[in-house]
Amino acid sequence: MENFCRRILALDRRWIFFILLATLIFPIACPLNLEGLKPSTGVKKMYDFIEAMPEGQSVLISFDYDPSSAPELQPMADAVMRHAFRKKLKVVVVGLWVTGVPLQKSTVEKITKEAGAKEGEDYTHLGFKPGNVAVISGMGEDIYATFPTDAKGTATSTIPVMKKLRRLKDFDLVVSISAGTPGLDTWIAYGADKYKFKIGGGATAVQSPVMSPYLQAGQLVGLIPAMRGAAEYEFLIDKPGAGTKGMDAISLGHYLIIALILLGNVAYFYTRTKPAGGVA
Amino acid sequence: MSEVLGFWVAAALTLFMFSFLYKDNPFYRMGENLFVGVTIGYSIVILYFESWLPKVWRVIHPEAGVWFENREWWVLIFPVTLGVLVLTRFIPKWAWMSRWTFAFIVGYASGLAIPATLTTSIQKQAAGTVQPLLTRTPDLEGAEADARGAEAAADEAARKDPTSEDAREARVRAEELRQKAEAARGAGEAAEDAVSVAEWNEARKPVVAKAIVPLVELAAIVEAKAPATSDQISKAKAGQEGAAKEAAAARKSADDEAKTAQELGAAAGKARAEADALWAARGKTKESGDAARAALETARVEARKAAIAGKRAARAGRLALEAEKRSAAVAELAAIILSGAAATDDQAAKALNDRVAATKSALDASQAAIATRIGAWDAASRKEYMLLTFYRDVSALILFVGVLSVLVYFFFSIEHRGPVSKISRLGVWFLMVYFGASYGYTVMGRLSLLYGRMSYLLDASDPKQAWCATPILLVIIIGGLVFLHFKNKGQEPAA
Repeated sequence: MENFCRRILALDRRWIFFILLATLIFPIACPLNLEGLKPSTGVKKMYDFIEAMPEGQSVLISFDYDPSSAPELQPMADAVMRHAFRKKLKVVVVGLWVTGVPLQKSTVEKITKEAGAKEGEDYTHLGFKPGNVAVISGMGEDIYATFPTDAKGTATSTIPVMKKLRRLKDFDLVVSISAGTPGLDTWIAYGADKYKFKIGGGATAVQSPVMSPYLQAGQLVGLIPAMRGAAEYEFLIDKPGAGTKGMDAISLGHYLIIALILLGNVAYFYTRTKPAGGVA
Repeated sequence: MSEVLGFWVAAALTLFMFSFLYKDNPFYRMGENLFVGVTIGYSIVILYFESWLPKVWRVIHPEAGVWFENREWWVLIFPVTLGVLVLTRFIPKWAWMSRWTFAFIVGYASGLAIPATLTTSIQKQAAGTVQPLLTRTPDLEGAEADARGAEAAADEAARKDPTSEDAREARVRAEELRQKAEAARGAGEAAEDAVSVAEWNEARKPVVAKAIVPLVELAAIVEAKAPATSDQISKAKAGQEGAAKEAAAARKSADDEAKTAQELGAAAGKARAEADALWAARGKTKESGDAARAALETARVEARKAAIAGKRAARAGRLALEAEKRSAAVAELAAIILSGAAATDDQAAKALNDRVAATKSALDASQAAIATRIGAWDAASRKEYMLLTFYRDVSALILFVGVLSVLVYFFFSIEHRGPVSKISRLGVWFLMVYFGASYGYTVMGRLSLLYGRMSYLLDASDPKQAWCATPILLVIIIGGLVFLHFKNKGQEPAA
């Protein structure tokens, strides 16, 4: 036992990388379809809010992430957009991250095609503008001035879907899918709290604990945390996607991490009181 | 071709990055440098087209116009000057001038950030923290006991003097508590009902999905408008028999449920009549009042059983109707197939309608399963809200203690000794719990990202889509690492 514990403590970390890789690859190759997904409060609130919006209301979706966070955030961006189009809401897409522009474009193309939405009438893609906080402040005052044209060069004020959407408070909901700053917290501090509009969003796992107090204080209408939140949202809209597929791997990965933490602690405490020298 | 190239480049860069897990190597360094270079290059191009061209260049020199034709060009003098001053960082002698720009940025950002942070992170968060600490309301059993006690007290007061003010007040109090208990019981029963409906819908989802299969298959045969083959004829016979059996079983189950509901309904009616009679005839003694109340409670339980059975019977009836309708449609389709002749246009059109309706019913069943499960969660939350306020109180209390102790930990104007030290120690515990939760989320985030790359690498292994990019690149990179290992053997510094 002592030898085993000392070997565990001296284990080359690359073995752990290898085991973790194997653990994640296994459910990708052979899906386990683990059950028991139950939407958390933040996800449920977000879904309920959009579900309760009448046809024709408007939602601004801000893509505040780039490819490095896409595995976590892309599924929730897809799910929220699908839900919005299913509810026949008017969707306006923007982005605050320069390296996220291609993702915005491909997502808008994919989901609008799938939903049969008409550009200009059902949605518009305003694209990216540099300036972070300045962009949010500008949109709070006058969207036509901040985004004079959409991503394809059409004058924003002439786009039918933008006719009654002059400033941020004209939107019935703003959603930020956020990987950091600028992101959800920027939208709350410089947008929602100042210009008084409803905001919800999704965040990476690292950001989620920081965002949770905003949900509890009622500053967010809903919060989708990480890939798990995306899977829960996909469940709620009955459209399993990348988030749901990833949950098998994430769950197994967590089991492995918990097992390794326990094993490491047991080995540490077992050998702590014993003098070294058990292993050749 | 460009898609295949994209797969190769992305897979190669991903594997280059992962190669660092083995140790630092030229593949990793190449990927790292490429990442930094491409990101900066891409950002510069985007910023040039999104910022410099529209915000500066086209203002002072419109595409078809004359220099400085736009009268607002002078607005740019200040920001452009500040921007240019940043570039003085490259000239050590003038580098100090860039501080003006940074001073402006810091001042501007502080002016913007301080009020926003005060409102968002302090004022509103503090309001979110200060919640009622005690919102306890009695649970169902407590509420019922309170109501019973109040009823007994009201009876007692009425026995002494039915016209007295005490008796009236006791009656009002008893009524209030009875209503409270009713509300708590109602929430509990609603949650039970919602769970039962959700379970029924979840059980129904696979049943409907399976039951529509013969209908969909036979409809497809009829839609083909060709004389049926022997296989198709056997399929039609089997489908017809199966659907008829299913409909008969569903009808029998519905009849049984209806019978049970009827019996329970009759028993509930009888119990209620007896309880009403006892209540009306109760004398002034405590015993007769208790007996009447017990009878009313029994009647209520019986009524609840009957109501549940009634709902089950109604659902079973709906299932039976659906099954009979399906069976009739299958029989009709089977008759067309068994006739041996090709289906007419009308028959094919009707088969198409039947098939679409059947598919839609399966989709509806799937949606209903999800919607009712959500409803069950909602009802459970409402029940929890009404009955389990204890947990809310505990949460609010923990939050309050946590915020206070963490604030004490960060308050350095007093020495951390005695009780202050103990409170600040508690604050450290709360911080550790927060860090633990954050760590857990971080692990989840990193696993998600790793999953994303693994999933991509598997996609890039596809022979058709990506020409086996991942395995080939893996072999090349491992080969390269092995080569470098042997080449550098003996040259690495001792650990």
